[in-house]
Amino acid sequence: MDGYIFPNESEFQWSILIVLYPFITGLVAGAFVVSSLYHVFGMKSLRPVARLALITALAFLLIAPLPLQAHLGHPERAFLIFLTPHFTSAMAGFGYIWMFYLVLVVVETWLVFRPDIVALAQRTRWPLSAVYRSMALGVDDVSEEALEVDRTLIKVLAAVGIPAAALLHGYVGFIFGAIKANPWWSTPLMPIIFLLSAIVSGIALLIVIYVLAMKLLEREIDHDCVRAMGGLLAAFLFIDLTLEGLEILSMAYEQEESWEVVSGLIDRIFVSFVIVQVLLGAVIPLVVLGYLSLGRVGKGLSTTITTLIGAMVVVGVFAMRWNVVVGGQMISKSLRGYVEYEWIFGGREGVYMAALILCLPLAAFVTLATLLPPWVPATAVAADSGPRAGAPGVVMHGQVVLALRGEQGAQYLDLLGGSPPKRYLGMKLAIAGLAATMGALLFGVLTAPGSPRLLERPGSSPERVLVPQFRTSFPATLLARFTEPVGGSWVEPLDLTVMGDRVFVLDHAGEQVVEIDLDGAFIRSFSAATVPGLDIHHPHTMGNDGTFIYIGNTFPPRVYVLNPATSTLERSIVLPAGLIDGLPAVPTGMALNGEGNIVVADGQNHRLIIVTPEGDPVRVVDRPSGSWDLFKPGNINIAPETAEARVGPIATTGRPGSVGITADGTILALDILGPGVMRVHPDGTLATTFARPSDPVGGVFDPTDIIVDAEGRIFVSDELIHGIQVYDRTGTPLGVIGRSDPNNFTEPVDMARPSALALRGDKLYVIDRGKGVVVYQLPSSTEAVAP
Amino acid sequence: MSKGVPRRTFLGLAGRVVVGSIVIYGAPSLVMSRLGQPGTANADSAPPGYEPRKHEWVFIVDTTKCIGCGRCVRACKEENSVPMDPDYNRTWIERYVQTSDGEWHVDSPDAGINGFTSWEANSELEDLDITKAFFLPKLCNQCEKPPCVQVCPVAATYKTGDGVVLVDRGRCIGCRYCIQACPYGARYLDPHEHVADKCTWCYHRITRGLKPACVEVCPVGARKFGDLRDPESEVSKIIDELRTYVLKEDLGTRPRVHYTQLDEGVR
Repeated sequence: MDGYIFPNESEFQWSILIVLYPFITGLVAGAFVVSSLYHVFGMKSLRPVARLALITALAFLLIAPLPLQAHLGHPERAFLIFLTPHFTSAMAGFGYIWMFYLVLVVVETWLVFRPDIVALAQRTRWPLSAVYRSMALGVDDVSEEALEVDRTLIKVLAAVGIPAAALLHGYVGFIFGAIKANPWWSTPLMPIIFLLSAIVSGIALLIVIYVLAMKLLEREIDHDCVRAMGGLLAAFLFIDLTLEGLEILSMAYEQEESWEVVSGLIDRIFVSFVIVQVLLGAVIPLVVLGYLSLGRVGKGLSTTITTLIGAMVVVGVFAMRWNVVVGGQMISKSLRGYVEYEWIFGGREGVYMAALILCLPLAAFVTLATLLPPWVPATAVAADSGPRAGAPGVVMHGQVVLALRGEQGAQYLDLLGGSPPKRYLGMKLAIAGLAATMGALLFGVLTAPGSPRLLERPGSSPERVLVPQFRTSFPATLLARFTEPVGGSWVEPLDLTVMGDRVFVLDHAGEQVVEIDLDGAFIRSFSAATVPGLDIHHPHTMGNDGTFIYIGNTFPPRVYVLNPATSTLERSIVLPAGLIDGLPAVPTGMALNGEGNIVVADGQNHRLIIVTPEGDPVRVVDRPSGSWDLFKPGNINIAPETAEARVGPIATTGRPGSVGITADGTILALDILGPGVMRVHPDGTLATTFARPSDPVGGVFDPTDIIVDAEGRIFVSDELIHGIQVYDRTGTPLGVIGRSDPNNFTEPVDMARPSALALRGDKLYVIDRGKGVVVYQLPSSTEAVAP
Repeated sequence: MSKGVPRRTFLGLAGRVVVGSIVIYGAPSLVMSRLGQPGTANADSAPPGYEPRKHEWVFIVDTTKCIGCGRCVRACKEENSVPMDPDYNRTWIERYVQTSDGEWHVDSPDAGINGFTSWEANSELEDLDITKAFFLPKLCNQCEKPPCVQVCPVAATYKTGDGVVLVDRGRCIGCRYCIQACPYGARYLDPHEHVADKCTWCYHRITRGLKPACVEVCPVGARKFGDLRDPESEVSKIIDELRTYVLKEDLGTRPRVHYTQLDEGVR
């Protein structure tokens, strides 16, 4: 990874298999165009290769879907492209276009080779003769009229085939060109660039196959044919180069937002793009072919050079496919970085697989060429001087064969393979093809960017989290629910405390404390109106010491000490301001410890303040060491009195919410932001933390209140869990109260927003924020443990 | 001279060849595509009786509030069985840091799932002269004109009546074209099921009146979700009153995720 990429872009989506597909269909389109140039436009110089081109096109066409099939995530569903194609997608066209084109090429091949098939059916022995007879499809008429019909059909098919070939390869270009998300791909020129480079690669491959095959067959090479193909190659190469150059030029001139990342890409793929694709694959071939067209070079040398150029162009076009497919994916859509490509040798998208897939069309070609020899015999030239000479269209092999009986016929059959020097022709071709493929791929590995590995990355780690089934239910029984006090009202119950047989509910929006009895009946309400000095405004927490009610208020930041028996305000405790900018304290939680002191959680200043009931500060627990400051590694121990302002720009600091006190005086502070529960010693040092969200069984996410019962069990209400998580005294989770299924968030819950807890003996009182009070019966410790 | 094969015979033969090819090629493929694993049951299902056309869901991100804690990333992975690998994310957090020379430094360590407080995430930024920094949560934008839906060859991904783009896991052939077409990098190939996957706005939750998991766990309210058909909802008020932005607007995808503030450095 280089720069910034989106997290999902680390994995390459399309690799070498998708590079192969346009390469193979490109060869098909190019070879077919050569064949059609002879059959439709009557370029006689291409006659020696017309049938060869058809066989080549067919061989590669048969293998074309293989890389696509191999690459799919669900290859067994590939047929859906035929059954339910989605026609806004260019890729959906693949099925029908390929099938149509396959039928077209098969039919045209059959028509062109029909006379040979008929002749061979008559002259070969079983089992070959059975093969040929079935291939003849029962039609053995090679009369002049029949061949005339053939000729017309071939012309029609070849003519239809040119736009079909354009479609077959053009749609691939559109697949890339229509993706606005990728600046390297998105251009209207893409289909035509792909098509032109396809034709170029087809012609080049044809040159190579023709010359090599003639050499292996020890036949005479038609130099004029090679020269004609070289000329065609140069012409198409020129247009192709112009268009590709125009595209880059246009991007470099306009310099849109994506130019920076695109120019960086060109630097990264410099060798495979500029050197291999442009220089070796286009510019040098153009120059050399241009020079050869001047005619100053001898025919043999010219043919050799043209063949070499053909090989270079094929490699160059493969590099072009590579640069488009892989190069485009190297750019991150964040336009800020690049993904590195990893060469894989083994595996589905590996080099060996690509080599195998590239060898298959060669094997198909060898098989087809052996069955239906496309080679034009030298004696066929004599037919030109006959009465049918000069007529454009099909090579009249059928006529020739039937006319050549005896010695000349035997000569022709010799050509089809049988005499010793020409044995092992198929094997030689296959080995030559294999060597060429591996050589080309090795060359690609060396010149294209990326780092090699042997195998693909292993699939995702098995650390796949399914819906956690970790939490259990705590066996508490729902006893009662009070949505309104009977005979009174509250607006937004937020907190509560139980004193004696009375429950005091803190009404946040109603700015009052409502006193109810244990059956939910309204007793009275305390507010600024009824108790002078009780200026409640955004109160968040309450506690009691058996006589007085302590209310933590935000505006102004005070702890009000209320005497409910006399409805008077006993005193108002001002909490010390914070050290940073003198921020006022905001009480977010309150509890009374065993010494009779009040522990107030100051959420604003991230600390705990311990005061006497008279309001004198006892201690301030300011960021216990190693707890709330996660900015730097290692622990930072800040002495309460010398704490300096330390706030990092990117820090997550805990924020104490509620507090609970255990029997031995340790403070349990709810860290709202962490989140989690902190166990703090009475002297202010941190003991431990638990209930972090990383704990799948007991983690809390949005904790609101914490309380400890006489048996040491810890209860934490959590708004996200919509329930109360229970722990034993050591912090081991015991279960969840209030959820019918603690692992399924779509099942009904008892409380939407449990925000406060209070205990009375073995009864748990919970505030469902804004809704009311819910009462649970708790089992004793021994009952809870038994399953 | 004989005229060769009579036209009728030839056409009859051709017809038999065509029908025969379809049967011979098609029958095994039909069987194969049924035999293939149907994939896990689609988790994105609405309860019976849910009427998509009655809702118009929209997602709002308040970029001034995000603190980069990463709980949304974790909650999403747990809720939707997304692999814990950092390479597969339905949602992620990006951190944008601008220095005094105007350069942007963007990162997303493990997609932000562990927050941004580790030493590895900050060691390179320590000595920089930072002027501005913010966090940017990202997820599938559920575009009104989704390029991913356009390019799926088998219509496995589709847009529901209430505005969510979903993937039919039983139909996806895993060609990865949609992943290429998404300009926001919101999609990935599920490494276990080999089908395309992406954020669904927790469709199984929102159709039952709940909020997406990421919205639920955000401690600061940076993520908001709601129904535009409800004029009292928070999202309706924000869309009506505040100025909002979308990502890559010039591409014309018309995202349904609105950001209350963006910066020119955001891509």
